[in-house]
Amino acid sequence: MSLLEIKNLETSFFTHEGVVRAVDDVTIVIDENERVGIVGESGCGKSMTAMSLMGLIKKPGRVVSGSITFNGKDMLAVSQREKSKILGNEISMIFQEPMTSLNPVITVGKQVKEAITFHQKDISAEEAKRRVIQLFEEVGIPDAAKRYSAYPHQLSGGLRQRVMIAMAMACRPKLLIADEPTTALDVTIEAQILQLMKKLQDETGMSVMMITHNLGVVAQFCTRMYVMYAGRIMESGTVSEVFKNIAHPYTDGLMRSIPKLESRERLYNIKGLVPNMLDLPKGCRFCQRCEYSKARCFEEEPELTETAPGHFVRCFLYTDRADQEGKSACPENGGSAACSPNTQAEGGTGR
Amino acid sequence: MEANRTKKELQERGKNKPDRENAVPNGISITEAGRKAAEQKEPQRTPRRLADAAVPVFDRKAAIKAMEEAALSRREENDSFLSVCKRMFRNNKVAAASGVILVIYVLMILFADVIAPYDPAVVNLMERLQPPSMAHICGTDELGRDIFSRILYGGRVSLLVGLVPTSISMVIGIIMGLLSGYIRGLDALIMRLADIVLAFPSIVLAMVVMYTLGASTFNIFIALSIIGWAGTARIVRSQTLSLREMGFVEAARSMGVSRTKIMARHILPNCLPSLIVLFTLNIPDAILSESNLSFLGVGAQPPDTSWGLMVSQAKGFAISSPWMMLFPSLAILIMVLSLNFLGDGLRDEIDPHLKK
Repeated sequence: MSLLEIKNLETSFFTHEGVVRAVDDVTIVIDENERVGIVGESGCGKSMTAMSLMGLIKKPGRVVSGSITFNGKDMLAVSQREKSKILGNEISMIFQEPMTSLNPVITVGKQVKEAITFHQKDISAEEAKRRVIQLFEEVGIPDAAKRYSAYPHQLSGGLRQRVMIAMAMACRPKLLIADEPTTALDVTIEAQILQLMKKLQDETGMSVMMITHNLGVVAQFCTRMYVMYAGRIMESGTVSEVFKNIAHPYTDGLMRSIPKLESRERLYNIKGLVPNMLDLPKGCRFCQRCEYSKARCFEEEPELTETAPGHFVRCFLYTDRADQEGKSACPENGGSAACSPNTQAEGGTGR
Repeated sequence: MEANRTKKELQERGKNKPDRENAVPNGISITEAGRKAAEQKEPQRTPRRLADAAVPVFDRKAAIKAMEEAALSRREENDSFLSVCKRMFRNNKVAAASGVILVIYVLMILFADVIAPYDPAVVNLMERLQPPSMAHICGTDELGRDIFSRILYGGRVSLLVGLVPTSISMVIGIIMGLLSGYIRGLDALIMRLADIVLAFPSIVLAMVVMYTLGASTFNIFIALSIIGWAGTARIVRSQTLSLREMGFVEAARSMGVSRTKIMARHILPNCLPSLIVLFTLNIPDAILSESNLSFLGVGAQPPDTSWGLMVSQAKGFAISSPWMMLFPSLAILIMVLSLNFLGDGLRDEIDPHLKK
């Protein structure tokens, strides 16, 4: 049975200018002992999906419809008391900014200790402290005992993120949500932190939901991935499958915007910006920026289609292809410039 | 072509990854592997070293253990109020001196009966408006009362009026500010209440309270508390508003921590530095407000007196007999300054950024 099932989740923000559907009809399933990546640009709804799951959506936002089932419990219907038992205990979260995620006036040891004693009332102070130091050692904080009484500002970004991981791991959660845990860190530390999380995941058998905009992180860390764009899931599948057969033009664009040493060419970028969430295009949400968009893309929105077992894509290139025969699509028959002029002429790409 | 190459590269990169990871020791194994490696190396290294010169063998394991034990046994609550004060007295001489001065003040005022050379209320018209002398070290006022004795007795009212209503109004203000900043539903209500208080000239509001309740020291407390909380509430609210958006509050929420606990544990301690400064600024304010009330006849009632009252009574004699105004003013000044330095010292001491 799957550990987490988010089904047709819709989270909207009711602003003065109109309704923003930050998360729109998102379905995500995470099995036990699985590392799942959620990829997308800034503002595409990745974090909001996680926040909806944690029940941390602030006004004027709210979960409008859909269901979130965690470990057999309906997270949207569960009482506040029940929820505070689950949060931090069975689900915990690592935030993007290790600089601000720790309270600056309390020592890090104490903060982690509170995470433990908050959920395990019967544990003695001495025992809790021992546990914290042990946790610090587990996450590779050198001089763990000494660092116990350090204040956040005395630690480097990498160490702070390790403290956050220690705090998240304090109660041995079943699901760890990592919201861009390495974005604020430099690359060497990023590798170490990913290693650490992988190791902890192996040891404890928890599931990890990795929210990131970095495909490298996904390639390195995850087993399955979801690509999100403007509140929608655009592509999903196992990492090896998606990386091997990139299907959606958006995923393809993301891939090509990774700088490469060999190529002296100008780095590819996806033209335009994420659409205004108040004023989404009528058809496919990516249509204005897509190199392959056709008239139809501007009129109606494609459904998620299975192109290979477990590999889902939301693009007409494949729904149509499914009608015809094969699976190979535009991105495969020849890179950037080769096929775009035709499609541009046909569909009239936005800017 | 381009895309194909890209994909191939990515795949290759994906394949290469594990090897590189194994090759580069990661963060965890830096310590663990390093320690293990060091432990393994130790036996090989030690004999040679011992042979060279009888260098005492460094027992790494024991050293680490000792450090951990030391950290464990170190008292965790090293942030108790007493220990903060102790540290401050060690590090900050100005604050320490201020503390000593304040203690002397309080003692002198408490034991006014013993120390005061004259009865503060006895009128002696033969010796009116005497300049400071051996007999009257601070001189006498227009009714021949000894100013030094009056300062000692008047200090009772002033000190109480400085500390008690300020503390009460700070507590009310903090609670109101936290509620209004953190629970958005209460914000409008509490802030409009504060607006009402702030919109009245405070002295008028205090007078209304004093006239309805009657003039007494206790009623001064109530009056000054009622006018004092609004300013504190505004400051706490504004700090709460910015703190509630901070990552650590969100992190606490993600751990399922309740609102009350977030306010008390995460937001309030971060407001403390400004609250301490505010406290030291509010005390002289309260003392002066009391003198205003006394001046208008609703504060301390004769024969009782207070510093503020003494200063305002000396107005008419400021040129001819300046000591009448000088000494009570000095009393207020020294107390306010000491409180200020003490507050600054405390603030620096509880600020973790300044800790070594």
